[in-house]
Amino acid sequence: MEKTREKMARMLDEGFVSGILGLRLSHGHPVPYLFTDSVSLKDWVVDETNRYPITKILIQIWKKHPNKVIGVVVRGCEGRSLIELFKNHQLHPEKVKGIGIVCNQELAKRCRCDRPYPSEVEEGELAKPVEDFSDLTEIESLPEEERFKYWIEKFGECIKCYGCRNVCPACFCTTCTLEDPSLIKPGGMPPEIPIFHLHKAFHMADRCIDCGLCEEACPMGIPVRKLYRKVRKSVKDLFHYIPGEDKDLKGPLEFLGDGSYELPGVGR
Amino acid sequence: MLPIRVMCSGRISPHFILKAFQEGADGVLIAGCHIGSCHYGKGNYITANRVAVMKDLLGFVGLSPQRIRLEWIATSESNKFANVISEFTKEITQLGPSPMRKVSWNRKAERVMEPLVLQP
Repeated sequence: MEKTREKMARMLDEGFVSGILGLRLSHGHPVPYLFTDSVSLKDWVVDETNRYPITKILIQIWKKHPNKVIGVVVRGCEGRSLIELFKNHQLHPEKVKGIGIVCNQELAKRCRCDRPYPSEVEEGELAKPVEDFSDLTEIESLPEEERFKYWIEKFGECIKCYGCRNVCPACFCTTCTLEDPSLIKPGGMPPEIPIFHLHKAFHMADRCIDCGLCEEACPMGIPVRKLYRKVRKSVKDLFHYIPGEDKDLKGPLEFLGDGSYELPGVGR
Repeated sequence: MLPIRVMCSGRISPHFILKAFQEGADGVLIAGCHIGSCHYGKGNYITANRVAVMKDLLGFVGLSPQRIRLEWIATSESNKFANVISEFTKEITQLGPSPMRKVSWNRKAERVMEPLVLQP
C-alpha cells in the first residue's frame, strides 16, 4: 500500500485535493478520518477483512464543504456507490477524487463480489470476480408456500432499527418511504411484515450496488441482501442495466429515466 | 372488487401495490392506456417496467406473480374491461386467498418485545 500512500501524499502536497477520506486505527478499530496533510497519512490503514460505509460519510462532508475537492479511498463496491451517488446528484464528479484499492480474494469470495476492484487501481493484484448466485437459486428451488414461510419467519425477526437503510450507500433521501405514516405505522413494533422489507427491496431494484453492508449491519441476521440481489438480477435480466457501472446511463425505473421508450425484455 | 381511480397508470407507485397486498388484497389488477397512447408521454412504459420487476420480487418471496396483472384497456373498451375483470377474479379464486392474510403479528417479533424480567 506504500505506492498508494505516496500518491495520496503527492495529491495533498500539490493541493490537488483538500483532504482525503480514509480509515485509521483508533483503539484498535478502523474508523473514518479525513487526512488533511501528508504527515498524518502515516496513520492511514487498509482494513483487509472489513468494510466501512465511507461514501455515506463523504456525502456529509461534501454538504458542509461543497467547494472543496475531496479524495476518498474506495474499494470496488465503494467505487460503484460513488457512481450511483453521482447519478443521483448527491456528489459532484469534479469535486470527488477516488483512489482505488483492491480487495483480496478471500473478501471477494465472502462478499460474492462480481467486481472486487474499482476502475482505477494504483497497485496490488486484482481479485477474480465471483459470479455466485447459489444463494438465490437455493430459495427459488423451494416450493412457493415454503418460500413464503421462510421469508415471513426471517422478516418476523426485524426490530425496525433501520440499520439496513442507514448503512446503505445507495440510500440518501431526506424523506423515506419507510417512515411514511400512510405506508408504515410510525413507532410501534413489529413493522408491517413483509412489506417493510419489500418497499426497500423495490427501491433498490435499479440502485443496489451489491455491497452487502445491509446484511452485515442487520443485528437480527435477516438475509436482506438476497432480496436486493434478486431485484438487481431481475433488472439486469429484463433491461440489461447494471447499477454502478456506467455514470451516464440512467436507471430504467426512474420516472424521467434517460428519455427513451422501452418495455421490459424488449428494448435496450 | 375495489376500484381505485388514478390519473395515469404511471401514478401507481409500486408501494401502492405492496400496500394493497398488506391490507389483504388477493390480487391487484392494473389497467392503463395502450402503449403509445399515453397522455403524459411515457406513463404506461414506466408502469410496465415496474410491474415486471414487482412480479419477480413477489415471486421470490413466495407470493404468486399471477396475483398481479397488467392490462392495457382504453376508455372505449368497456367490454374488454368487464371481460378482464371476470377472467382475473376467476383466476384469483382458483389461487385461493392470499397467504399474506394469514400473517398476523409474528410470534417471533412479539418475543423480542417481551419485557425484560430481572432475576433477583
